[in-house]
Parts: sequence; C-alpha cells; structure tokens
Amino acid sequence: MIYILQETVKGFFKNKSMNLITIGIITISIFIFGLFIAGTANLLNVIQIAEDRIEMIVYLNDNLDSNGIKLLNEQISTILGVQQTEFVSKEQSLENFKKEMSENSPLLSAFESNPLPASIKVTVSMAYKTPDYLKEISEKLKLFEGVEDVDYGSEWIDDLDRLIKILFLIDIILGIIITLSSVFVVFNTIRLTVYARSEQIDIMDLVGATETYIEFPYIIEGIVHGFLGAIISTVILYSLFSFIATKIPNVIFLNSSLIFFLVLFGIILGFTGSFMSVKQCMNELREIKRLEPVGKRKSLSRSVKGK
Amino acid sequence: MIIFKNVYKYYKKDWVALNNLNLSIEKGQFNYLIGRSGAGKSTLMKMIYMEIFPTEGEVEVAGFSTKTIKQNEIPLMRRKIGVIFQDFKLLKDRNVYDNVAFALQVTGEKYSYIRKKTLAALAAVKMSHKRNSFPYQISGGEQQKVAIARAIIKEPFILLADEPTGNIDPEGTKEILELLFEINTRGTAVLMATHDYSLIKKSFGKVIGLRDGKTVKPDDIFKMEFGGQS
Repeated sequence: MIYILQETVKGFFKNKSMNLITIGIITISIFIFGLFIAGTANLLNVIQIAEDRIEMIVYLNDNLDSNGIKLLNEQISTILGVQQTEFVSKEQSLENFKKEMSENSPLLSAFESNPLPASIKVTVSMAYKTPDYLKEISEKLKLFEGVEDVDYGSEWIDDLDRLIKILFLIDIILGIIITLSSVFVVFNTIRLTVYARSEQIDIMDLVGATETYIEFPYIIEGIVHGFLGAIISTVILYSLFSFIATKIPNVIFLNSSLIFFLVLFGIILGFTGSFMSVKQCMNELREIKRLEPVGKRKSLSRSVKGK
Repeated sequence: MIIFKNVYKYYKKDWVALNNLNLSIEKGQFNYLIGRSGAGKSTLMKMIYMEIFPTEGEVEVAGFSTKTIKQNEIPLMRRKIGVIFQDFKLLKDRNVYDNVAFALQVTGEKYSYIRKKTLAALAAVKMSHKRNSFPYQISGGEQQKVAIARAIIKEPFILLADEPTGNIDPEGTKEILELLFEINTRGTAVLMATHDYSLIKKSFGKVIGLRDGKTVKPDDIFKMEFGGQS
C-alpha cells in the first residue's frame, strides 16, 4: 500500500508537464460540460418564469349577480388543473387598467361608464400549463353560464411551447455531444499518460506484480486528475457566473448538488479513463510480445537476402 | 522443474515456431539454448514465464501447467522465475538501487525486507558502489548486472537469460558469464539463449540446440554454422 501511494506521488511530480496537460484538459472538458449544465439550468429557470406568468382570465357577463359569481367561482374550482381562482370586479379592472395606462389617458375619458367586464383570474397548476390542457380547460369554462369569454394568450403559449421543445432538443443533442467528447478527450489524454510509462508496466508484469498492483497507482492518479480538474473548472464556472449575475438578473448558478455532480463526473471520468487505459495498455503490451517473433522472421529474411 | 511435453506453437497457419518440442530442465542445471534467429528460442523462453501459451501440448513450470494456470496465478508463478534480456529493461528514471528494489516493491514486501534484500542482491552482482547511479551513467555490462540483481532478488529457482550479452563488450560479457555461473553454483538453474557459440566452448553446462522449433543435437548446429552449410 505504501508503495502504491509512493508511486502515485512520485508519478505526479515526475511527469509534471504530462500531469498538468491532463488536469488542464479535464478542466476544460468539465468546464464546457458545467457551462452546458448551468446553461440548461438557466434555460429551465427562464421557462419556469415564463410559465409562471401563464394565467387564464374568465370574463363575466355584466348581468351576473353576486350569487351567480359565487356559484361560478365554485364550479371553476372543481375543474381538473385549476389551482386557484380570484375574482376581479369591474371597478378593480378599471383600477388595474388605469395603473397600467397613465391616469389621464384620453382613451379612458372617451368612455362615460366603465367599459371593462368583471373577471375571474384562474391560476392553472404547473403540470397543466400545456397548450392542450389549457385549451381543454378554457373550453370547459366557456360552457358555464355567465361566462362571456376566456383568454389565456393561446397563440403566445403555442409559440412558447414550440420554443421550449426546440430548445430542449438542442440541449439534449448538445449534452450528448459534450458528454461524449469530454469522455473521449479525457480518456485519450489519460491513455497518453499511461502509455508514457508502458515500460514500467511491462517490467511490473514481468517481475510478478499482480494486476491490481500494476493498475492501482494509475487509477488513483486518474481519480486525482479528475478530482482536481473538476474542482478547478467549478471554481472558474463559479467566478464566471458570479460575474454574469452582476450584469444580468435572474441568472442562477449551479446549486450544491450540481457542483457535487460535476466533481463526481470528474472523478468517474478519471477513474474509468485510467482503468480502461491501463487495462488496454497491458493487453497491447502482451499482444506485442506475443507477436514479436514475426519481427524476427523479417530480420531473418533480410539476413538471408544479404547473403 | 520445467517440462515441455509435445509442445507446438503456431504464430500463423503456415508458420510453426515450436514443432513437437519435448524438453526438461532440472533443478540447478546450467543450460545453453542455441539456434539461429527464428529457431524458436524466444518463444521457448516466453512459454516458460507464460507470456505465450502452446497451441498444442503442455508446459509445466514449478508445479504450474499452461493447461490449468489461471490468469491471477501467473504473477505468483513469475515470482519464482528471474528473467533478463538483451536490452536490460531497466527503468531510466530510477537509480540502480530503486531498479533492483522495484521487483520487491511491486509485490508488496515490507520496507526493511526490501532494503536488506536489495543490498544483498547488489552485493552479489558487485554493484553496491554504484547503487545511486542512473542507468545512463553506467556501462552496458553494468546495466545487465543490475538487471541480474533484479532478477535474482526473489531467489528464483531458474534464471532465464535471453541473449544477455548481445549488447555488451567482450570484457563485460566475460563478467556477466562469470556472474551467471556463480549464481548457478548457488543452486539457481540458468537457461541462457545465445548466438555466440564461442561462449559455450569455454564453459560447462548442458547445450540445447533448437532448429525450426525442434530440439536437435548441438553438434548439428555447430556444423551448420561453422561447416559452411546454410
């Protein structure tokens, strides 16, 4: 065990440039991966904010009395997907309208009486904020007596829905590409560090070191590379997002579980990369040794020709 | 201790490296293995430390058989065998002491035991004074001595030497040979593959001739080499 630790530490300081390159490449790979994860998290956040704003306004008939409104309100509450309802009177609507427009708008003074209808604001549960459900709910609402019209910005929601779907598709494709390419790049870099010491692996194999003993220093080194790469890239990502957050509001950075995931991703990358590389290296060395006589045969044929 | 029973080895369909080879190497014996390039010398050596396996037949080494040995038993078997090569196979980034100690470090021995054995092995090959040198600072002959120290540190029952003097000047060659004889007199069997037949005349030991993957009388090989037949 002491040997393994010694070897790991030695390996780290002996091949400084190789180690720095490996850690650097893992850092870059995880940085890009983290950027992508953070981007996705922010995309989800924006979608959440947009979906939060979706609400349904049920415009009421002017001659509906307070009992009718109460009954209607209760009926609406029983519809699947309706989370909350809020009655907005004619006067309230006018107030709101005045607030949105400027007080002395000439538009308002054109009316002698209040032209705005009373309404019920319906909040739909998150899970039902899809174009299909919203349409279904609005159809049901329209059937109630005293309902003049229902508005939920249907065109806008269709557009948003399409946008979300496209963004998700791009995000998934990008995610697959980034994950695969970082795995590929990291594996190949680790492979180089392992192959740089193939001579050592060869001798260990020859003097009767068990496979575990041969593999261990490389695997530990791979894990340390992955861990350091992940930590460095997380720090860079954190600084970057802190900076962006000062410029753009509502930007969210990776939460603690995502940071944990990134570090774990780095460790897993380092572990599997080194494990597979050292196995592959040993197999290739053995394969070369098994085929060596072919080379000798060639030299034999050369010497025969020489004669 | 080592028995080859009807061993065949094909590298390709049309190329037989070992052709029905039967051979035994006894405990404490000094053996020369002679034959031209491609005669199967290296194949035979590799089969003893089970780097390669017979296509047909069986090789038995220290109670392990090529037919029944498991992958995880190969390291244990190799600890009973010492191997040296023409190109020494030393680690360039470690000094002489560390190169020799390496063989015990990687099998998980204790520090004090490693130190004791390493110093003893270095003394046995008369390289104690150069224990802090790096391979590039010493001659080919000295590098081979370090490789021998590494090979004998585990007190193997046999030392396999594949063309050990191929890269060494005559003076160094003499020293290496003397060292191999000395190791042999302490009870370790030696199997030395060589091209240099002049080495054989000067000394003792059993000579195994190999041609086209078969054992032949050593005299046949000498005749072929020196009698002008090709």
